[in-house]
Amino acid sequence: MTRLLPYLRLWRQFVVTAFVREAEYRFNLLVGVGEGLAQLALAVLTFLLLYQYTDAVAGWSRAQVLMLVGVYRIVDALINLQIAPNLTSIAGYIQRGEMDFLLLRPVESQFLVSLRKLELAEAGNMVSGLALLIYAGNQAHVHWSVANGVEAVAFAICGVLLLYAVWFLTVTLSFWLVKVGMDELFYGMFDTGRYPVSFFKGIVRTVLTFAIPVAFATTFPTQSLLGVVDHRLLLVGCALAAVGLVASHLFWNYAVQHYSSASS
Amino acid sequence: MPVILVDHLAKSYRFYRKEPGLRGSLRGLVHREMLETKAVNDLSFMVEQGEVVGFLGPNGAGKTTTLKLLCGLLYPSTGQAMVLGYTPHRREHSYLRQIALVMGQKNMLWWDIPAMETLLMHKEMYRLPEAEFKRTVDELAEILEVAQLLRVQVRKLSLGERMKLELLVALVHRPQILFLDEPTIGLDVVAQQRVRDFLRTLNREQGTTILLTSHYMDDIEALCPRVMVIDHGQLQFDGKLSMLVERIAPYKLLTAVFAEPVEPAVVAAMVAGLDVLPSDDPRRLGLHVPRTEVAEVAGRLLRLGNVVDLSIMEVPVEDIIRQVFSAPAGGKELV
Repeated sequence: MTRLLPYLRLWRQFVVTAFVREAEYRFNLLVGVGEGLAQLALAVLTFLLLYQYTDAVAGWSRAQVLMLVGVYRIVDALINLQIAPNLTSIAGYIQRGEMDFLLLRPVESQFLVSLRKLELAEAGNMVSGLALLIYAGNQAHVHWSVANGVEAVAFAICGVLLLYAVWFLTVTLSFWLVKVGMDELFYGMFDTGRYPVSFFKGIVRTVLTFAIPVAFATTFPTQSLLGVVDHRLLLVGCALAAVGLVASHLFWNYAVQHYSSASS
Repeated sequence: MPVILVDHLAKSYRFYRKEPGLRGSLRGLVHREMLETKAVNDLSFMVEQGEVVGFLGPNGAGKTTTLKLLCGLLYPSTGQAMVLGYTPHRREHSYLRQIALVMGQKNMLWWDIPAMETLLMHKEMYRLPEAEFKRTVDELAEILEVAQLLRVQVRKLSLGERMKLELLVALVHRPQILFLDEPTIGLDVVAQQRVRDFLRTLNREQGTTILLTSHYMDDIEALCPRVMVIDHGQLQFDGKLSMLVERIAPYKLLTAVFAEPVEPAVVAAMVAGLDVLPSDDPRRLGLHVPRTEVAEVAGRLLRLGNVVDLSIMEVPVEDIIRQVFSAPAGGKELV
């Protein structure tokens, strides 16, 4: 705990700094929130359109799919709030040589490069996602319970950690390739998270569940709230998340040792 | 006790040679020629606590690579470095807490927020107690005259102001060793002077050991009693700046101004065997005179009569350095 405390204090400073930055760009904040709401409306409309012609797709009713859209929204906002701003910056740090300074701080460098930037405007999207989730949940006659809620959150955390680990592993390749350009690919893959995995078949579903673990981030949390999830999957999720994090850390440390800093 | 010990340190970079053009790029995909360059080649030296050492050398000589090796950013290819008893490239946190790196061409301040936020970040990263942090910031801000700038968005500051803040941020954890890479690059003369004054104060009052590279001779002359000339990754000279000057330029610059133009023939006889500098003004005569003959040559010139002005100067260090660097690789042994 004494080793963790300074990291918590540092993270708190990251948050404070993000607030200061946000305050410098108040207009950006407004635009960000507006854009988030528009995206949410678009996603909802897409499904409303689809469900005009049918009551269920792959066993998912309209209200259940809207719950999933809500969950997707929350997880997406979480990623855009804390993870994406950092992971999309790492290649730039290496290109411009800023990595030099990050590696010279007496702090775990992975912690620093993964968390130092936050995009606080995304918090608005979390709220709208949560609102949609609750509304659609009521429509789907969900029996809200603490146990299901906790399990859903646990799944989502596993999913986010896994997504982070996979993304971070690819970003770490920047040490050799400098320009990886996989961020778009990653966003594209996570986009599939707005659909239940059962919408996909065979190998695609397996890939989405285990290789690019969007199922853990969105489908399984929704299913826990609906009370239809296979509980054993949570253990799988935790194990995968742990393996992912350890792998990302080992690979990062290996990469950092082979860092040949950009010339001045 | 030396704080820095460098023993046969070497660092080579590998890179691929690329042929120009589309065809070259395509060929490069299949077959690439691997080249190796020795950025630092067999360096050995020691630095005592509290010294200020200047690295001199042309672009690509290996100065920055040396600094990065000492910071721990690069793994040495062979040989080793010991700084404060640590092996730098292990980057132990207890080591990193005692050093700082400032680069004139790269900034560590966050662009769109006031410097105070970056300082607070450093406070947490270096785990500085509140009272000590406040004291250091106040003290440094006063010497650097930046107290009012701490709350201003960094992007609204001038380059000189930003450099001073970079120094403040780098020093807030009171490092024992400060590595500076071109700290005054791009600054105007006044700002350069400020930075130099500050570094001198820092070294004198806190005993901070400073290693710096610079292209500006003025920096080196003003700050560094000791210089190391590095070229082609090798140490060509290590010692006092004045010794370097004597070795490269064992002569002084003697200038005489006459009341009226002097006969070239007379002059030629006078200065036989000496190096006459070109001059636009027929009344002005500039000479390179060996140190031991300065008094005698000056006397001879004065006896010619008509001399209205006579000056004896050291050759500008700039010129000496230019001379060092234009020498072919390994052609001129300085050590």
